[in-house]
Amino acid sequence: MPPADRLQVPEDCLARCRAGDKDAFQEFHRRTATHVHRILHRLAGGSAAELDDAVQEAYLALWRALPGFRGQAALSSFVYGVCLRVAQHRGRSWFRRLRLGEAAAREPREEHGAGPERALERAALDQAVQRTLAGLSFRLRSVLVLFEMEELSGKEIAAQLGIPEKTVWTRLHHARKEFRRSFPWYEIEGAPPTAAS
Amino acid sequence: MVRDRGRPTDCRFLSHLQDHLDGQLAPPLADELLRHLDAPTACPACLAELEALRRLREVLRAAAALPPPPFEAAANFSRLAPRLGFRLPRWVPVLAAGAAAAALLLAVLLVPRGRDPGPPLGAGESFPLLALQGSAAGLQPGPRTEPCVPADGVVSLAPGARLVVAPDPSVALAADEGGAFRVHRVGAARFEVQLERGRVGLHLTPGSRAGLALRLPFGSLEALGTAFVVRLGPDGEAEVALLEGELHVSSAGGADFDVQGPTRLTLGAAGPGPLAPLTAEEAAGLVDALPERGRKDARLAWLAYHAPPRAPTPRPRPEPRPGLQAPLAGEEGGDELLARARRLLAARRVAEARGLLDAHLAKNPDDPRARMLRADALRLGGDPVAARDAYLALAEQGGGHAQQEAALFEAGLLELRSLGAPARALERFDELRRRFPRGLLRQEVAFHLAECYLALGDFRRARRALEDYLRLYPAGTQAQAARDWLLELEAKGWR
Repeated sequence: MPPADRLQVPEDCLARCRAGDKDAFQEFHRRTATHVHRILHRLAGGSAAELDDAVQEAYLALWRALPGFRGQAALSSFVYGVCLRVAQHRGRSWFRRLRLGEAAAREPREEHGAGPERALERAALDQAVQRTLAGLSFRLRSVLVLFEMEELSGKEIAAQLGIPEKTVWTRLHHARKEFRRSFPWYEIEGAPPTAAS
Repeated sequence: MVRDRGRPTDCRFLSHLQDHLDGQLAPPLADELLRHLDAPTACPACLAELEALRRLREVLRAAAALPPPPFEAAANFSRLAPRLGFRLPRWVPVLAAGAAAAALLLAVLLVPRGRDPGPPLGAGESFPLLALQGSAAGLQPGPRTEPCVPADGVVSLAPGARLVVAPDPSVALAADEGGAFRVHRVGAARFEVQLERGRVGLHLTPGSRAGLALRLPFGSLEALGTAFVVRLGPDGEAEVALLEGELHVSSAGGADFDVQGPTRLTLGAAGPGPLAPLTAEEAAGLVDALPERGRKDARLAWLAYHAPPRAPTPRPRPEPRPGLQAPLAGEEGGDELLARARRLLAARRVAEARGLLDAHLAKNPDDPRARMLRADALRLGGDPVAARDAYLALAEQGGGHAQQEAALFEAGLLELRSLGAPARALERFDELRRRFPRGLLRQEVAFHLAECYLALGDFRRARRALEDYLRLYPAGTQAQAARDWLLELEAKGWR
């Protein structure tokens, strides 16, 4: 059985994209853009405008790379690979600015059925996680995001990053340790977790 | 080695806990670990570590469930098209801008909770398979070439076969033991699974906007952020094992109630059976029945929640020695009260925590731990000025040195990050350096001094403070950030 796919793009749409069909690529964009946007938000961060720009960059890369995609891997793996490269390239400068306090904080948005207090809490959590991720090197951050937030398996991450699976677990171990150490537990949860090691 | 409160920190299983949760521990060692956790004398170090790992996982999972910032795909493509050399009809950018504005308005009114579900399934499409071992009848070709589970169609597994399907990014189902089931999609992101025979393991990501219900011959189960396994007997009785989270149970006889994991129950013609505990061996076996994405949550939750209720080892409480120990809260159960307030704060039930602390402080106005928690409550309740004042009061005349140091530090952080007063924050951190030169927070203070200078635009001093920090703490928690800031300052010409 071919690898399972998280992205649902009809085969004929992919074939037309590979052949350079612009309408098909627009359809491909429509079906996959929210997924790409979400991955880039987690891997590279950034304001809405910067993220929009990063998404465009990812699609420019996908447009160039799709003719070489023959379905030997899942489409989502292929898209993850492109997003990882874009995020690695772009994320660095944005995360630095976040740490220098220059990046505009994301406005908390009210949610349907939730009051402004809840929206503020979620915004605070989001910012705290983003800040902590910003403190990790890209190689640790990418593994943590892909495993814990995107829920990829160790094997999938190893394939994405071109590293042995054992290295994925080692990096994940270090990433969690760093995250635990730097996350503002007191601000978000009221008390830090007990560190036993 | 023994640390404070007699907690052993050299437990050899500590470093294996995360491996076990990730499913990376080889069976002999995994079994040994389970026996260790199941021992009548629960290992406090492992329990503390499990709790810390659980909280880490919860934070990352909660962040993953947050909706990403607003994004309008059509508008994005209209900006992308010229870069690709595409020419769109003139009306497309106008339409995209209009759509973006409408979407923004909708987003403000109706931001969905949880993950985006991806593009909606069209008519005739099916639920993608994540894995299939063995054969199954009822599958059909999907949008690409691989087989998919048809929406509303019955899927029957051959004996020994196993199938994993994900009808949504937040929902996954694994079936085995000759199972037969159907999946219905109801609305945008609600799924109802009807189990006809065999066993299914289901996982719903907590906090997601998706809904998941399991229909059974004698009732139904509504998942509330859950991992659970259900086996259907030949008489239609369901054995339910809830490994994590909560389930809402509705029986055909009219009983309606919520259950929290980890627990077991049956749902048969006579109604729901009594709740029963899960043993370590049962839980370990059941985790494998879940889809992969639910396993680590279930392992972690099961271990973290299962372990604490075991009878703790009775330890003689040492008699307080006058002058050497801070007085307790001044009333019976003060520790429990403060622990409860801390839990309420962790759950963001700030008003309740404040009520508890105010009542306690009315009787014990000088209890420094309660005062600290009250200041935390003020901060979490969105009143940074009152919180800052409370911290400062504690820093002036609080309990011990450690509490005064922590309170002054928190006041400084609030001024730096919440009150936009870096000059005052600088004073606080300077005072901390003077008053507590060997304080527990001296490393953090050294780093925040640099942050204050940066916020004040005094890049020369910021650079010096960062260099000082790196000289003193080359492997410190903020060393990487300090190096990056230095690079950034260099890039700006502040050499």
